[in-house]
Amino acid sequence: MMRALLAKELRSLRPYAIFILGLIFIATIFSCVAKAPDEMPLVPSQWLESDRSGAFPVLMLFGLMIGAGVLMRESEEGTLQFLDGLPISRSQMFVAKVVAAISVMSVIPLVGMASDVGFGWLARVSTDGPFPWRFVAVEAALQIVASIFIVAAAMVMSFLRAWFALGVGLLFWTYLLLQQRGADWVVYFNPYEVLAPALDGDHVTPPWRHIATQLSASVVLFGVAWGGFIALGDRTQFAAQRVGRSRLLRGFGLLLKWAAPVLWILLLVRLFGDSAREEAVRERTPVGEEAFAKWESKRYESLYRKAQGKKAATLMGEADGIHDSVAAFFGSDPPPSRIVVDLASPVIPHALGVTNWTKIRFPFSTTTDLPQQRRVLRHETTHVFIEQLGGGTLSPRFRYIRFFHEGLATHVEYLAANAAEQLALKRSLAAIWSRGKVPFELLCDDEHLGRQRDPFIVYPLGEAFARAVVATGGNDAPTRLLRAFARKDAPMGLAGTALWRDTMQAAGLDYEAAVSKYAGNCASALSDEQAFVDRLPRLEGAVSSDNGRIIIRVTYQGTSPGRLACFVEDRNPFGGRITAVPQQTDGSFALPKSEYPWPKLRYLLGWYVDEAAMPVFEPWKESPL
Amino acid sequence: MIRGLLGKELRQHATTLLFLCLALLGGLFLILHNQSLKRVGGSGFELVRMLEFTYVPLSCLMLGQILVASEFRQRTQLFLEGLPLPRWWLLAVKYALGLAIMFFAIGATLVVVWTREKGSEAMTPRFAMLLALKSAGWVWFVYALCFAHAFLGRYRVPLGVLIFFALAYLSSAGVRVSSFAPFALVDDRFAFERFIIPRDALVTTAVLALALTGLGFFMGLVRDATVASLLAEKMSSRERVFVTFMVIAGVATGSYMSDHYKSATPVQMPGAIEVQTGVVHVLASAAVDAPTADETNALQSLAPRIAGELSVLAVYLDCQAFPSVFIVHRRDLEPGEFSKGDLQSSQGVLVRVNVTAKDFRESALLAWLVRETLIAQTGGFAKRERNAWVLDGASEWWPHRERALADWEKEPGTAIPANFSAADLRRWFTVRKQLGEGKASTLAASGIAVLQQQYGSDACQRFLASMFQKPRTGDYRGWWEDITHPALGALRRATGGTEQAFIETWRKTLAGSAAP
Repeated sequence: MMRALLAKELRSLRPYAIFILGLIFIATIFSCVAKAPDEMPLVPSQWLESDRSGAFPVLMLFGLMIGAGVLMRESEEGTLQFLDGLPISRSQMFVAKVVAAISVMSVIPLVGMASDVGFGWLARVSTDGPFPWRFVAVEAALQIVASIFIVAAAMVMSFLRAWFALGVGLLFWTYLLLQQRGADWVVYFNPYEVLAPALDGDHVTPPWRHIATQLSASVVLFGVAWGGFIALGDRTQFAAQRVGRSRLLRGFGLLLKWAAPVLWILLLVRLFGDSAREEAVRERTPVGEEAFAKWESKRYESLYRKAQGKKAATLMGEADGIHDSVAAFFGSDPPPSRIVVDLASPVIPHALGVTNWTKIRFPFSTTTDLPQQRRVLRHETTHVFIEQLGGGTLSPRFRYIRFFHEGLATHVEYLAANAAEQLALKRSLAAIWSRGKVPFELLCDDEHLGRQRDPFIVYPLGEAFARAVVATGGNDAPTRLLRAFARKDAPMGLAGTALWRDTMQAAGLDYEAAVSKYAGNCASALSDEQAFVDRLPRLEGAVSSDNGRIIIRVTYQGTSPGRLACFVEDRNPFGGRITAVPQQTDGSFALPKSEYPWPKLRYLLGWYVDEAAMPVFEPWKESPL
Repeated sequence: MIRGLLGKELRQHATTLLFLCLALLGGLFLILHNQSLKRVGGSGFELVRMLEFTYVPLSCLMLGQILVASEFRQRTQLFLEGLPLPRWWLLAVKYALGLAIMFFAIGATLVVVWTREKGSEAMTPRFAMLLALKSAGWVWFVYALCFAHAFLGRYRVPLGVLIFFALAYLSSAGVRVSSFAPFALVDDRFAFERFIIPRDALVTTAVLALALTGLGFFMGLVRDATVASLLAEKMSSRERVFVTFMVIAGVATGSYMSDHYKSATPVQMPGAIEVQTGVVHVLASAAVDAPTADETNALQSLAPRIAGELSVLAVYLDCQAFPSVFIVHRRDLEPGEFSKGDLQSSQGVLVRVNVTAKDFRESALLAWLVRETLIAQTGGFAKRERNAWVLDGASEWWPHRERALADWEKEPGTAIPANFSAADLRRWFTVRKQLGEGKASTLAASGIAVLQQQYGSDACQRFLASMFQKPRTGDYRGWWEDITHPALGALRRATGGTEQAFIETWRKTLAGSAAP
């Protein structure tokens, strides 16, 4: 009977299986049409970097679709009563449904990975190492674990019926909020994270904590779903009818039904509101009071706390001059409205100021003295001009333009700097180049650059490129270039070097000459400052775990030129890309394991030195945990 | 009667409307107290924009669902049609009620945010008017869309998913969705632009909203609302799966089209020396500050020579088209360094090279260019391991094609390994690894030389033309043509024997030519 029951469940899920197979077939066809079939080798690290994000939505979509319908369909279509008439228990039915759902979901990893294996096999060459069968097996198993978890969660949520989508949305929201509140443990419940085993050469280590958490949670969720399924049907209907006969109970039931999501929202507000409120009050009054004032000049409108009045007046007294020198650099008209300068609101970590369109935020608390404040204002005002000349078209392509945005702002900032400051910038550039050349192809793709190097290098390298653009195209070259980005007939869909080549051609600039000059600028900085660079020892790190902490020990040869810095990758979507790791008394860096719940540690090691404008980091290092 | 209708809608949907209000308040509270979002967003009004992208579409969808879709699905509109009111009045009441609720919600949000963020926002009447206008335009458009969408009954969800994914894909494919109305109203500048009124975007949005409103009314009134009633019927299980499949297939096709047809613009080189010889087009330019006379002269003499050499190759291979070649002179490069520009095959081949370096060798550049143009010509298939020995051989042999066999033997690396077989031609990367790239190329070139001298120039020409003559696409078509016309098959046809026999001839010829 159990076999017949399972066959019936599989039959009812057959459309989904066909759907999955059809989808993978279409994806395979598209892969062949877009690329040659022997051009897609199966490289585990590349698979995790790009293909994982393609596999996950399919798992999520079908997991939710199957989980949402597999239990409730019998009740909604009225076939549950028929099944109740058979000599089988509800528990048997439940087991059959779960087994059928997981079996159909398993088609995704099995067929999907088979397709990857097929392409990988076609792309093999005689010098390749052994085929990564272990990775294929581990990844397929991990996808099955994720499928089980998603199906289990969807089964529980399916009892919300019409509120299913809302429930899933609220769960997602809760997850994001918890993560934002620093509850790093929530990533153990993220089915996307479970798909990433740690790779160390040919060795593949599954993320055991994620697996244990999600399988345990699945058991609990299946238990809840089983309870709900047992209660479905007549018993629930009789109970509902009994409730319905009493006006009081009916009213209470209705209230409960409608109030549940509302209560959920209120709970979230309560949960995150209290501590957030304290934080909000703290951040709203960074200088101890809430009263604010406004200073208006010809070009700026600044907002600050009254306690900052004297400092603000000093800086803003010079602001119009700064504005006009930036405007003269671009040879363009000022923005149509005054630039707003918010001198008190907080900005993202590791930034001195942030500009959005015509609004600059640069809290005084992040700067030390008036010369630095002048430089920051000059830098941020340049961003305003860049945005204006770009006509608001730069943001959607920021990935390919970030280096130029920051580089040009740094270039204009340092035009007014003294010789010592300019030397410090040159030394930063030299040190970066000494840690590995950054070809223009890499520089103009912030996503790829960010995987290899620290997020600060775009300032000196971008400045070197901005200088190259001016040197090869003339003083008005930046303005022409930005206007070319904003031109109405610009082709869409270009990226990286293709975008830059096209835009520079449209601006009448010589792309090759600018790229050549950029490399020349960097190389000559290194050649001039070789003595400084030689004083910065290269850094190596050794990662270990101890007492729930991750410890990074830094080694180098020679004498210390300054202070060591260590950062780890910050995967929090609300974070600042990197997080500083505190240094211990013994010189090592340590952070609690709970704050970094991923199987592989990505970290940056570097020097803070007074002679350089920015910290000098080694390229990203990785270590499995 | 109108008041009665309004009362009925409010009574019927009071709980949902209350929920929408609470959700708005909760969302506002959470967003306004979330310091991370505020830091990233840069303005309180940026958070309003977030709500406009999340709360507004969801609420409008929900309002469309409860006011229109559920009425038709549950067939309760039949009761309303019994009232002494024209049908369009019933729809107008529903439309106006939903729109008023949304206008109220977003208006209240703007007021609340402004009140809270007074300290960090420089408000002016014009800025306030801009925010209100843009928000109103966006809300009207989204509501009108959801209103029309609600009449689509069982096809609402698939169509909604299709629209969502289409927008996401367009955005990821580099199409600047935010530059078109109505998205231009709520682009990155929404919270910060304090002066410029987006007239075009507002007018276009109003026209779109009116059109969608008209569409909604049309759907609700056409054929006495029977179309809407039919569409509102439940979808069967098979239909559901089929429609979902079609939606995903549509989204996948869209993504493929956007990826596949992403264009690369033609390469221009201002001030370049340009030479066209036959089908070969060569451009040479100096990417240096103030090129010297030596540099200009070097490029002026180099470009025609390279064009001439490549043209002879193109004629030899009987090519009707050949990739354009761009030579960029760079002083900072080492003499033997050839830096390849990342152009697509269809754009041509770009090489950065120091042509005035003391040890610059033109023959090395020509060999490099022969190799890269052949790769571009074949859509990259010449690089595959099964073809790599031909590519290595042809690119090394071509600049030295006049060399006698005896001279090839003198080159280091031409001694054929003892157990060398046809299988090694298929495992050429291993041969390269064992011998080193230079020696492997010389070995392969000696093979081409043997082919030419022992089997005749025609055989050699036929063989190389069959490999490189036709431009190939870099997709499955090129792959299929490549694997169905393998190099070893072409070699068999050219020599009239087996590949093993050719290898033996190769071995003996080199041994013979080396003999005194």
